[in-house]
Amino acid sequence: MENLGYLFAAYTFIWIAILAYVYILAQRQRNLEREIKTLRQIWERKINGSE
Amino acid sequence: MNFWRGITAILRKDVLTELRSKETVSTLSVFALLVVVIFNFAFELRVENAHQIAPGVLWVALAFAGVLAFNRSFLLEREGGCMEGLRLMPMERSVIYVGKLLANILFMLLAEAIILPIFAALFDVPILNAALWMVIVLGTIGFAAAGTLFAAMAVNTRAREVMLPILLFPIAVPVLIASTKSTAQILDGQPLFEIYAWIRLLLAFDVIFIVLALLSFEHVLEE
Amino acid sequence: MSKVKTNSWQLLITMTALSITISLYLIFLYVPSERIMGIVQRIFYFHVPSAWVGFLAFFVAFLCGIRYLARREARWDAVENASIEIGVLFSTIVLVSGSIWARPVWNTWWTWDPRLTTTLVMWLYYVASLLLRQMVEDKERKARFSAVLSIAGFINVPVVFLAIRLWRTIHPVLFTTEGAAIEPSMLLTLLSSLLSFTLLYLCLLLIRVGLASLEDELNNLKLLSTLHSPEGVE
Repeated sequence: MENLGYLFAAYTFIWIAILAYVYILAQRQRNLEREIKTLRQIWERKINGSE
Repeated sequence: MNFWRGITAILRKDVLTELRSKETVSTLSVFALLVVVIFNFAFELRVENAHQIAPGVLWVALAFAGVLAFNRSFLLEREGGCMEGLRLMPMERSVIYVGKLLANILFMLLAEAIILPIFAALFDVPILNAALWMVIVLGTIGFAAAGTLFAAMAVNTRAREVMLPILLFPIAVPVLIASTKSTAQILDGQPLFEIYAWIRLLLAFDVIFIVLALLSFEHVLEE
Repeated sequence: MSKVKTNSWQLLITMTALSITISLYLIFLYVPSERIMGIVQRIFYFHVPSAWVGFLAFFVAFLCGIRYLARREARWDAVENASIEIGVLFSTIVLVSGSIWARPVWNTWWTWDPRLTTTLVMWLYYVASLLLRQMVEDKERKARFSAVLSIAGFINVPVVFLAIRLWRTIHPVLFTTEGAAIEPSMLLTLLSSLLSFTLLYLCLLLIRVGLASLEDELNNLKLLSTLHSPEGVE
C-alpha cells in the first residue's frame, strides 16, 4: 500500500495531460469560431452597404 | 539507359564542383577531427580505454559531419538557383536522388579515408580490417540514404540547418547503434559471425531507405 | 452539422464516457492487486492502452500519408496531422506513466528497455516532424513533406526496435517487463481500458480534424475578403 503516491501521480498526470489537450483544442475552436463570425459580419455589412 | 546517364551527369557535376572548391571534403574532415578532439577532452580518452569509447566517438563524429555534408549538398543548389534546373531535367525525380546520394556517399567516404588513419594513430586502434571497412561503408550508405532524402525537405523549411539533424538522428538510431556496436566488436577482435546480425540490420536499413526515397522523392521535389 | 452526424457524435461521446467510467470502476474497485508489485501495478491499465493508442495513431498517420500522396486531397493531410499530434500526446503519457511505474518497482526512473527506448525515439521523431510542419509556409508543400515523414517514421519503427533489442541483449538484461500469464479479471480490465482509450482516440481525432476544417474556412474567408476589399470600399 505504500506506493499509493506513485499510483496517484501516474493517474493524475494522465488525466491532466488529456484534459489539457482537450482544453487547448476547445480554446482554439472558440477563437476560430469567433474570428469566422466577425469576418462573416464584416462581409455581410459590406455587401448590404454597397447595394 | 537514360536513368544512368542522368545519374552520372549529376554525380559528375557535383564532383567537378568539389574538385574546383574542395570545400565539402576538407570541411567535413576538419570538423570530424575536431569532434574527436573535443570528445578526447570530455572522456579522457587514453590508449587503454580507447577500445570502449573510440567506436562511439568515431560514429558521433561521422554523424555530425554527415549532417553538414547533406545540408550543404542541397543548400548549394538552392543558393545557386540550380534547383529549378534540376527539376527541368526531362527525367524522373528519383534520378536526382540517386545522383545526390552517390555524391554524398563519395564525399563522406573521402573524408573518412582522411580521418581514419589519424583516428587510428591517436588511439592506437587497428584499422586494416576488411570487416571494419564494410561496416563503415554500409553505415555511411544508410546514413546518407536517409540524410539525402531529409535534407531535400529540410532545405525548404525556415530553420534549414536545424531541421535536418533533429529529424535525421532519431531516424538513424538503428544505423548509429549497429555501426558503433559492430565497430567495437571488430576492434575487440571478435569473429565475423558475431557481427553478422549487425551487418544484416545495416543492410536492411540501407535497402528500406533507398527504396522509400526512390518512391517518395518525386513528392519531395515538386513545385 | 447534419442531424445524423450530430447524433452519431453524441453516441460516440456517450459510449466513450460510459466505457471510461466502467474501466475506472474495474481498475480501482474490481480487479485484485498484483501480488509482487502491489497496488502500483494498476498503472498498467492506463499505461498499456496509451502505448496502443500512440502506436495506432502513428499507424493511422502512416496510412493517411500514403493516401495523401496518392490522392492529394487536403482532408487526408488533416487527419494525418491530427493523428500525429494525438500520437505524441499518448506517447508522452506512456513515457511519463512508465517512469512513475518504474520508480517503485525497479527502483529507477528509466531503463533502456527496448520498448521504452523505441517509444522515446519515436516521440522525438514525431515531435520533430510536427516542428517541421511549423517551418514550412506553403500549405501544399507542408502536406507533402509531412506525409513523407509520417511514412518514413512508421516504416522505421520495427528497425529501431530490433536495433535496440540487439543492443540490449549484448549488455546484461537487468529487468524484463514480461509478466507471468495474465489472470482473467486482469485481462478483462485491460481489454476494457483498451476499448476506452481507442474510443477516446476517435473522439480526439474527430475534434482535431474539425478544428482543421474550421482553420480552412477561416483562411478561405480571409482570402475572399482580401480579394474583394478594393471594390467593397466606398
